[in-house]
Amino acid sequence: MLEARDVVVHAGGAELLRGVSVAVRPGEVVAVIGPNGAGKSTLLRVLSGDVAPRAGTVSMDGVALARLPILEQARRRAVLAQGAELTFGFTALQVALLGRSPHLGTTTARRDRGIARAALRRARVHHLASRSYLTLSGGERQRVMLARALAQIWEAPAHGARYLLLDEPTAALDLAQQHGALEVARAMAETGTGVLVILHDLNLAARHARRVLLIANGRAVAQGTPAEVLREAVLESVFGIGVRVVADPVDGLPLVFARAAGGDVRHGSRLARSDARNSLLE
Amino acid sequence: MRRIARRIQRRTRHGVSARRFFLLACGVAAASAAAASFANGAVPIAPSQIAAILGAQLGIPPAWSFEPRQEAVLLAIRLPRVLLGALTGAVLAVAGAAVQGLLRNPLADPALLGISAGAALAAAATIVCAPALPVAIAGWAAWTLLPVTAFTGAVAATAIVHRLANRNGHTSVATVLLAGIAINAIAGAGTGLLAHLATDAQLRDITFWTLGSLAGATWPSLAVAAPMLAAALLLARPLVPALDLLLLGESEARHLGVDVEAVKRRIVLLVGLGVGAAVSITGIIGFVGLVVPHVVRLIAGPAHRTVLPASALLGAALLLAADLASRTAVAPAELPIGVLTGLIGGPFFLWLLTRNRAAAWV
Repeated sequence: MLEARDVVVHAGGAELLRGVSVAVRPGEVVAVIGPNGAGKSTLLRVLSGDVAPRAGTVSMDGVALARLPILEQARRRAVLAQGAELTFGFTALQVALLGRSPHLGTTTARRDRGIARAALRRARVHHLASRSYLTLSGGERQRVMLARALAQIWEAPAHGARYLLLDEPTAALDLAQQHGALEVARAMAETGTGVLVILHDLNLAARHARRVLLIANGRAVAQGTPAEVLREAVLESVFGIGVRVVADPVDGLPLVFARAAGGDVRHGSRLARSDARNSLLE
Repeated sequence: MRRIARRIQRRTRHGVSARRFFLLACGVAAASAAAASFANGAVPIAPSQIAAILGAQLGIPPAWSFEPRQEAVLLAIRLPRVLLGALTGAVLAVAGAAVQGLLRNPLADPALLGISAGAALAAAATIVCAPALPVAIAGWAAWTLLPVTAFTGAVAATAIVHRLANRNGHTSVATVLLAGIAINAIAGAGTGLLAHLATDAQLRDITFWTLGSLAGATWPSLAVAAPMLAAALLLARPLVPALDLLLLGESEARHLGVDVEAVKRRIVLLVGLGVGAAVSITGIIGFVGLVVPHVVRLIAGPAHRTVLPASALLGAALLLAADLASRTAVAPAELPIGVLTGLIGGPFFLWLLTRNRAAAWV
């Protein structure tokens, strides 16, 4: 289990996280949602070891992150950060192979190449294997980077579980590719990987995550199944916009629509705030 | 060049042999440049005579006749000069490749970033201030003092550029170059001030540092610099996987298991050691560190497994060729080698700038 408990993060005088807890268990997809600047990416950076929290603890399989060597962490946890940039002309296959580098010396070059190719296939960019990364479109680049992250944790580690942290992996993707990318994340979860994914699209979160964490102002506002978290009152108070949530007529999953912002909506959101507080206590 | 590059890249993707072939070609280029440097100059020496002279040193009876003058020129002048040229060219190119990898910026170069200027400033300060020290410096101390101070200057300049250019793991191209310009200006001003204070003999020495030349190659100077240059090359070797990962970004490299801070320290050390040692004997030689890794990436792609060894070999070849031209073009006078590398490197740099305005970096 990859777990952050009551983490507080300060940066430049601002409190980015004020006591957030989240646990990523092997085999499940956790979606993190919330407005811009809520602290979603900071939480991911805490879990990926980039930011040491001022208070609270972060642990991987019961061991404090600070006490795990960087290489050991890299063998179990892959991170796809936002806006990963590469300005040198590696081929897509070479990029995927970079994901194998934590395992240098534990596998063979031939095996690594096989895994890199399989990861490209899983991310549906196998046909681009020999193309230079620089000639790819934004969406293709994003999927090649996803393949790199998949290649990194392709096999179960000697001890501990695997974790995949994705920061808006769907940002540059079209409708089909968005679902494709998240289905890949789900497939990873089914083979025992703990997945945490930051999403802006609430419907994607509802469809692909088992649990949803809603963050606002550096605090966890609600956490639970999509149906528990994606409620009109909660979303209206957090996003400050009128929201309608209906059940999908086919599978019953929540569908979220934004309503045009108007005077009565603002009024409604003020009323909704007490509801949101109640859900926090649950 | 682009067609050759594409062909080699295509072959490189499908097997190891193309990479070996390319490295072999670079090795042949370096060996040819060394052979040409041995043979040509004020006293011409035929290849067979070179073999005979070198063989005689190893106790093999010479099969070809040679004059004592040729033996003296080859052993006392050309051999140390070629060794120094090859090592310096290799180190400058590898340092360029390492700095470019560290900053994720293909425009980086030890000379452009002020690292060479920092070393030259420290060298000039040593030349001018050493005689004023209360303790007389003689013998080995005198030989090692200059490389050590030049190394210190190079490390300081590298560390300053890196500190200035890096904010929260992000490196700004503009800041890197502006910091380099500023350090070049400051170090240049310092060197100028020292030149103003220097005696005539010291002034000649300082001018020599700022223009660059392999004429200072002697066995004793090589004995001090060669271990430092070799150490810099050896330090670069284990950095290959980390340099590839750093191209993804510092936090990405950390996520892939790289101890980024340790790698950075190592790169700063190798660049300071190599460039400092090179500058202490040859003075500032620009553009080798910029041009050579670029050419290699154009042909073989950005993987450091190829870029580092190929840069070392091609850097040696380029510097030896430039040195050969510098001492034969206007014989018996010698052109400063910095003039030649600037003549080749300057236009190439401009071409890169225009080429890359539209496309992304190689």
